[in-house]
Amino acid sequence: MAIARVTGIQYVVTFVGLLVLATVSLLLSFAHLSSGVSVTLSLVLAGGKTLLVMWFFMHLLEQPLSARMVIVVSVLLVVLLVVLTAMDVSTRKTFPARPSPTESSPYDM
Amino acid sequence: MSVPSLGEQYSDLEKQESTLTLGMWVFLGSELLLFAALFTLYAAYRAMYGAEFRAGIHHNTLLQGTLNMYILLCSSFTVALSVWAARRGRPRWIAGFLAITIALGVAFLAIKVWEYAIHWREGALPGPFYHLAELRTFGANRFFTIYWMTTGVHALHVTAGVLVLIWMLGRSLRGHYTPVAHARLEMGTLYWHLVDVIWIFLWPLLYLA
Repeated sequence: MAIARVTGIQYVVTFVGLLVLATVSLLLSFAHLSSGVSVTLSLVLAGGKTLLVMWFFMHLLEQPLSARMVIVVSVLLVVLLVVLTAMDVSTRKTFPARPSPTESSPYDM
Repeated sequence: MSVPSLGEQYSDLEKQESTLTLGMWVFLGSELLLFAALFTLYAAYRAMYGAEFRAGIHHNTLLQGTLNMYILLCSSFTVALSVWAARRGRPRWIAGFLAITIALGVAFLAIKVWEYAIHWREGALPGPFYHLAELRTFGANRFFTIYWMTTGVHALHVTAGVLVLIWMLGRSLRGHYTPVAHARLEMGTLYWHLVDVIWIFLWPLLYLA
């Protein structure tokens, strides 16, 4: 059965793409964006780099659906865990909103 | 040149190779979930202490973190080329690409030690040992504690990855990886790529404002 194979040229293009995305991330960090925009852009660019690494370098392009599903399910679980925990913490109505005031510390700083 | 023996549960070598690879992907999935716990901690504390986290990021060692990002991207490229060389039946090229990857991995760890030394001198230490004078807030303490935890666990993975690469370098020189049988090489390189992917997410969250 013939399967798709990652070619040498695809390795090189992927590598160049990774360097470009990393440099774009670095340059954007100097753009003084708001926290929400900055984190979102960073994660989108990191996601793009990860897709390139997984699809070409890790040969997910060649793998059967079973291997791809392992990663899809793992990533979905990670996203669920992170997003739900962040939402939980962000929507708490405790007084004060955070466990301890900003200026003091339980470690006697 | 040796060929791996066929386990009795497999009807042919191709099935054995693809099963090994699938097993490795399942292990990588479990490693993702391990780091997910650490990323969740980061997300929770950043949601609570957003401004202090940004201050901690501004204070962090951007040069070293960024150097390490480019080092790992290059190492992912070279380790992928080792599999490319295996498919073409060139054992010396496999060894060469693995050797370059090992050198880059060691460089990553050396820069990490340099970074930790800087943080140690300044007092940006985890938990109760924290005494960084410029950022005396609890939120900054949380940031650097999570920084040490996530980069420390990651550095342990890089160290294990380097040891695996060294072992594979020895086997490649003895001709163990052939065009039809190199799943074990592929498994080791998959682990290294995962180490790179983890840093791809750690770098913007810990170093980029």
